Amino acid sequence: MSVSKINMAALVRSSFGLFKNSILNTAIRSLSTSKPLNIKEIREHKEGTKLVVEAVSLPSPRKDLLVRADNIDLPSSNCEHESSVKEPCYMCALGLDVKHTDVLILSQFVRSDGCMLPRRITGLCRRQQKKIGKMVSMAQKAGLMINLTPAWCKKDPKKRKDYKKFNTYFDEKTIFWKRIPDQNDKWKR
Amino acid sequence: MSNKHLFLNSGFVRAPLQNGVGRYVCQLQRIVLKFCKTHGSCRGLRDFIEQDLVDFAKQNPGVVVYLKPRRHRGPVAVAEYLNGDRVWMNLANKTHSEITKWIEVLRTQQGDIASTRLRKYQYTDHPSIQGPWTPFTFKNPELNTAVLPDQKFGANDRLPMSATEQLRLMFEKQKLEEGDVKTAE
Amino acid sequence: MSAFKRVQQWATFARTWHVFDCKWQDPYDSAQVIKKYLMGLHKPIYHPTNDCGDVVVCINSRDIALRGDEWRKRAYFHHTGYPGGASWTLAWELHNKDPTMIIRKAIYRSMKGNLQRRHTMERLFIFPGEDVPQDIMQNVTNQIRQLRLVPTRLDHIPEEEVQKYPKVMDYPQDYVLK
Repeated sequence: MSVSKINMAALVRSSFGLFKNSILNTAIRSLSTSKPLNIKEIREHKEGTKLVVEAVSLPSPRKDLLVRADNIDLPSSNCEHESSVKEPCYMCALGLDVKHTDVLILSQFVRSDGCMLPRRITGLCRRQQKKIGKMVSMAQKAGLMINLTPAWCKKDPKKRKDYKKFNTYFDEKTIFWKRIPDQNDKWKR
Repeated sequence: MSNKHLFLNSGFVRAPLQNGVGRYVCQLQRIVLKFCKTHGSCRGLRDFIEQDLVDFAKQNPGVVVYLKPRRHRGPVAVAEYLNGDRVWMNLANKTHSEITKWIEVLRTQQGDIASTRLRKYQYTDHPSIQGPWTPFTFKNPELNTAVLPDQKFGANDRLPMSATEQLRLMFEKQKLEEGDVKTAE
Repeated sequence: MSAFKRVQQWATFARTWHVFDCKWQDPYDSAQVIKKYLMGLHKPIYHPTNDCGDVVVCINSRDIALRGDEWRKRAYFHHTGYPGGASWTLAWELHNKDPTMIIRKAIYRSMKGNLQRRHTMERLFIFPGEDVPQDIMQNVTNQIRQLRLVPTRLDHIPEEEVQKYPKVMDYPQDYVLK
């Protein structure tokens, strides 16, 4: 059986943890496999005389909303990537021209305290990780993601001091990254 | 206009009076070629006179050609036109072929057009039949009743679609394609 | 001149009043647009010697946006004429003192420095906020389009719309949300 089993003791402990959480209502969660996190669900069913309790990992809540380039036939979809060896990351494959004002996209890469998620979690390529990280900080400096900004910041620009209290916009061209040499460049075969 | 062009004649861009639609009237009436028989700068003009001048006079019977030799003076062409203009042109050190071309210019042009200041760069004999422009031509009539400022008229409507909107459209497309697969089954 | 021709002449050379919303606009970019309306360059009848400039009313000049670090890097120079009378004011300091000054200077400097410039600037009205006197606003018949889109703040978008918006990133299998 591929589904991981939890023995009885752990179950008791977890249920006790659940109980404690519900009473104390703290932000600290004692066990990550419990129901409030929606990562795994505890199911129990009987096989003959045996009672089997198992934790089944649930599909992500974002699953239905996920957009992937494989599912859409994009017009002239990334001919340059096909020739290259590496598979492009999902952001490269979508080919969106994201700007720092697209807060609905940028907020997906951000923790609830406003920190950018690391690359092992976002699964982006280096370029995209750097670009999106820079754009997140641009959006936070411009005061476009107030609810997703570190707590130590003056969140609302109107409450900031001096030059920080006026509106600022950013140019995405100022984000620096290494130029990838074009494969079709006629001088470098 | 400023005083810079005080002594310059002013005029408009003109079509050449439809000259040649029925009968062409050569506007050049008289041309005087002044030259020196020994001076080096007259060499081109002398060549022109030797080789081409008789042909020129035969082909243009309406043009009176005078030759005026004078000692130790530069070569000059003076053209007089039907409208009374007089064009003076210095031909010093010009080659034979250059002089042929300049004399062709003098023959075909219509008066002294080179030394007129153009008051406007456009001119028409037939002004617009829909009337002159006013600030309200080609205006959106919705502006008459709109309460300004309004974001509908103030927002930039020529920017490319933002990534937020593009992703939304991609999602719609993906949903449609998934729906297609399901109905096919 | 017949009465009809006279009215035609009035109509052609009538001054139009335009309104421009400076909210989240770069003053130096929008000066290039406003300048054209002030000088009458947008009209087909434009000629440097005919007086065909329009009136522009700029509103919300307090909410202009400068690019990157320009608020603290751009300096405005002034000299009183006395020795040691030079002063440099940073853009944010100037904006603190007078919220209309940056856009006014941007438009003034975008035009060629001839005798006409002072008179052209007389046709420009700038207001730091939304409220414009009624006798000015009643003349306005046109709006100049902005250059940049006014960005939407994430906390101004309704919560359910953020939830329903399509996602590009999915968390890995056992990732604990923070």
